[in-house]
Amino acid sequence: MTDSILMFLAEHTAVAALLKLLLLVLGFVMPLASLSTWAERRQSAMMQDRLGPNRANIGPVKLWGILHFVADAIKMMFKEDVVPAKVDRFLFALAPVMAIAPVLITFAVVPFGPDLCVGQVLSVVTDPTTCKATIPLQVARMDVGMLFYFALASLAVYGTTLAGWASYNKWSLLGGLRASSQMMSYEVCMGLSLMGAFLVYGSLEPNAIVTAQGSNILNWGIFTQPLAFVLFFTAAIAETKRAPFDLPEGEPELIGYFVEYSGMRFGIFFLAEFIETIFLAAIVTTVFLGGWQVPGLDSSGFGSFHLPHLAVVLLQVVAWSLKILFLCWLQLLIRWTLPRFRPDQLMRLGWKQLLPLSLLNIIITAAVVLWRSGGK
Amino acid sequence: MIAVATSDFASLDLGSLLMQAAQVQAVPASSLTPAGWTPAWAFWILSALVVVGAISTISQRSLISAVMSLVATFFGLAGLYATLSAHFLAAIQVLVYAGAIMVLFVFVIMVLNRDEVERVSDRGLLDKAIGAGALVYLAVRLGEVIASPVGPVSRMSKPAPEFGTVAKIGEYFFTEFLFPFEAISILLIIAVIGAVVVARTVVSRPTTSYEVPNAASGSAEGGDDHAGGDAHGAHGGH
Repeated sequence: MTDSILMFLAEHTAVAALLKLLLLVLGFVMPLASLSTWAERRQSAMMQDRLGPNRANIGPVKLWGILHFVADAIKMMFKEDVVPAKVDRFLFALAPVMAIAPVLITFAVVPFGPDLCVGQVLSVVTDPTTCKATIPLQVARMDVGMLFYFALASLAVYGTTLAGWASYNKWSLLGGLRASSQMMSYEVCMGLSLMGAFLVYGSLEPNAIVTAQGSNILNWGIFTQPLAFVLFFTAAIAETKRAPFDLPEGEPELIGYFVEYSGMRFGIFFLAEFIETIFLAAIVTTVFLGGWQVPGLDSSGFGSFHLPHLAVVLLQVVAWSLKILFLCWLQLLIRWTLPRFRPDQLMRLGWKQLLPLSLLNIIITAAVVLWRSGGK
Repeated sequence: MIAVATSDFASLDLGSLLMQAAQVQAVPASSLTPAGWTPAWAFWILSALVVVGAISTISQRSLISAVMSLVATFFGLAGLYATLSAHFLAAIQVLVYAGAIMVLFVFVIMVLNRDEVERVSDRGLLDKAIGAGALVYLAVRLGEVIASPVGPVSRMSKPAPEFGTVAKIGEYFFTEFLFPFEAISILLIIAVIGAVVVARTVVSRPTTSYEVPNAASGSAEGGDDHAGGDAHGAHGGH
């Protein structure tokens, strides 16, 4: 029964892709993003010696206040949707869509597990390449892989910029201007800092990068490309527009590009920001933390301790999720630890420090790769 | 001479598109990832997006709406590239044109903050004649391709599966097309240096408004965005 379902999915890739997309987005990304909205306030409260949101409950069920995200969602949906008088109505409505759609689509390239060998789920698989039929645990496996991610991520800036423009409000316009200049500057560094990793692992395709890293932890991106890890993580946090890079929002002076938005439209901007943090965690995991690899776990099990294929895959998917949770937590920690940059500091960091360092990283990596391949 | 070259190019281009639209269904679905899953109707939807976007670009009165229409056009073009198995080109099209250049356009429009412009209608007779001529020519060429009995399919062969992959394009860059590739790099570097030189001569003193101003200079224009910084620099530092 299970085998025939899996076989059907292996043959009908479009159906499988749709299922995987639903599983990934509705089963992992959206719940995690909603939880982050609560976790952020709770964690910041703990860091500042406060209690934070801990009271929302359904009867006696309280769960440390986790239910706050449900309360927030209900509040957002039932709030009045105010559209100011002189806004550009079409662009005003388009902006939240442009903010959230690209980040959700980019999850298509993230591999959240190895290829599932259909028909051998309960036996030990020593060489996954010999499988007759496989289901890749990744929605879209494209040759351009990471370029697809960069292309769509570069579209996310329209959400903030259009929101700033369409709102017909000086502060939101300033926020939108800041967002577009900031995201343009840091995109360059983001792309260039990953170039070294592409050279080392010889591919742009995320799953190939994960496979190339293997289960040996010393071969993971964070050890082979330590400088790129720091550069990419910094630039990517700037892309998510969160503190210390939250100039487009700049609460004390601007309130942000979404100042005129209310109700669920604001909620979408809010959610998009958290989805971006999850996506950043997913990319860092893929390129620098071995993706779904577990240290020491090969496709047949830990060394001579064999495990059935299904158990190996499950362990790897769980490892992937844990890595993402850790990186989300780390981003919250950074966000509540560092104060905001000034705009000139932001530009100096992006163009005069991160960019030259990422170029240096490419040159050094290229030289080492050339030397190790014997100059061919 | 140029006209001949362009016409060939135009018909070939459309021919290849039509051919792709007719052929993609023959590819077994199991051999492709969802990214390569391109039914024939994808071509028509993407083409409609390109055409509607292009018309909207030249007919919108709001500058930002025009730019967004152009973004939609680029998106449709990228989609067409993807159906032609040029995935790398598709990604670059979105990344560079839709994601970077058009963002810059939006940025500039926002900084200038111009209101809606009047539609340009008082063009001279010559302009109208040239436009009408081009339109007639286009219609003739299109009709020729669509109505030809053989159909455009026979003119081109299907590209190899690895055509348009990152590896293949990299190989082309460093073998067959090394010289044009390097020449374009040099051209771009010259353009960048030129831009820097031009920018430097306008703003004589590279400064930002965030630097603590002299006690004498009133801080009325101490804006805290980049446009404010430029405006301050243009004032010439008192």
